[in-house]
Amino acid sequence: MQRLFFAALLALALACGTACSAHKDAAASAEGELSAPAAQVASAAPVDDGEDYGGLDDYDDFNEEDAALQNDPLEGWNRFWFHVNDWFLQYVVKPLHKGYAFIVPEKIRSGISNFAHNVAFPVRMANSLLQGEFAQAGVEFDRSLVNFMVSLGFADVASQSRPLYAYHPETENFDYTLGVWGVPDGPYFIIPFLGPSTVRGAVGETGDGFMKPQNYALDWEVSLAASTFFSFNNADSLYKAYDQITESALEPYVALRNAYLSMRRHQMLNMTLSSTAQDKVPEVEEQ
Amino acid sequence: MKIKVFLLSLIVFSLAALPAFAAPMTARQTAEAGAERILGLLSDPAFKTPEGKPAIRAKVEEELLNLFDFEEFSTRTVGPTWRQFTPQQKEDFKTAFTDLLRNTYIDTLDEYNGQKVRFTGEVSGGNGKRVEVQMEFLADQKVYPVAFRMLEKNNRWVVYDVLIEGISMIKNYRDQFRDILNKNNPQELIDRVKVKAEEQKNKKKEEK
Repeated sequence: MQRLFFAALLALALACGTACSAHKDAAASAEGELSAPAAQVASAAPVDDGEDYGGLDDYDDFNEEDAALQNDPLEGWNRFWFHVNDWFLQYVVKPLHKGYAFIVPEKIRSGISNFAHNVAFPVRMANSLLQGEFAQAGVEFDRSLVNFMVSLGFADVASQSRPLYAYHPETENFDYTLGVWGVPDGPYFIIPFLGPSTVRGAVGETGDGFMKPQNYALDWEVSLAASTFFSFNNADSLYKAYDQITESALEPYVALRNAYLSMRRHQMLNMTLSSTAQDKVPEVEEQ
Repeated sequence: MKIKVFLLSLIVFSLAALPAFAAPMTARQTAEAGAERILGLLSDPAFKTPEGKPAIRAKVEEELLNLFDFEEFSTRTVGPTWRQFTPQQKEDFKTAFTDLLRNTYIDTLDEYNGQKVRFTGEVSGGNGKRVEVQMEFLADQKVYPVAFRMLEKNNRWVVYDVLIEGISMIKNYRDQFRDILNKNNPQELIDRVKVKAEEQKNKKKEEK
């Protein structure tokens, strides 16, 4: 469910590629203003004094990895937009989508979702090429070709055959490309109206916007409207996952931050080097 | 004749005592057996009927309490500050947090609809004292990676953390509780957990 959530988030993010340059400026200014929370976080980081407090040990507790999930120097900005986004999701997106889902049957919505995915294939292919994953780029091209030929892109027939080559669409974005190039992830950063990301994630989404052919072929209003609609079409998976994370939480802001960053780490989206890139240069690992 | 009876009873008694001396189950075996029993109970058609439900639910809760260690959950979600809790506060927190988890997750069991669990592997850490048992949960034609982190307690493996898609339940709550404990005292945390547990309970009722 959470994977869907972030897939939908990425789609949402793609929708507003053009708007992202404004967010970057905001991020820069927020970084200047918000050094105080950063200091707070640092002082709050727990110290492992080796004392036994009821079975806690080094396997998962209080290591650096754990502290990385609390690294939030932009907390003031993030908390503000967390509340705005929360309101937006609960009181605008959710009611609208419930009405939409009532009128439009699930089959059609899933067709639209497939179409949106297939239309975005040049972005994924370009990123695979930029990452040096040529086989992956080929797979991307073939899958889209098959899907367009069979169903004009409204079905995902390619997923019904057993893949000869592993398909990882979640890494085919400019965020991950920057990671492969060695750009660090940067702190947690909530994008207005789109949701949780990191600074690199926000930059990556802008980059992806530049790779979308429809942004060049269509007027920007039409292109933006189409992207927004595609994201809205998938909004149910987004708010279901969001509710799951925040409803059982005492501090929804912290719960979402932890969940997003853990998830990112789990999908290895935060990695500076992709695992395949490490495989290619094993000597680097040994040093 | 007497000797025969004596021998027979000896054999019977030693057989009865066997499980106590049998090799203890590994973490993965414990998790697999526990999951099998729980899913078995949930698959019982009686679970879907109003009459059969309460009894089966009680059995499932018992199995869950065997497999998951709520004491570990409580200690670990609070973290180092646990030492500043008084014994009474520790007990209160444990009760409140267990209630919160129960009220949040127990009703999701009702939605069980034959979904499958496949165990995929295990990783050990903490000098072999901790084991992460990994599995895949198949629902709606999608695969969700789930992991149990387990430790050995009183000769028995128990689950002290659950990870879904890499999100650790314990760490998620610990981050939140740290945030609260930075500004408040333990009693306030306990009160807030109690309020949240109550809120979850009422919400589930409203939905019904």
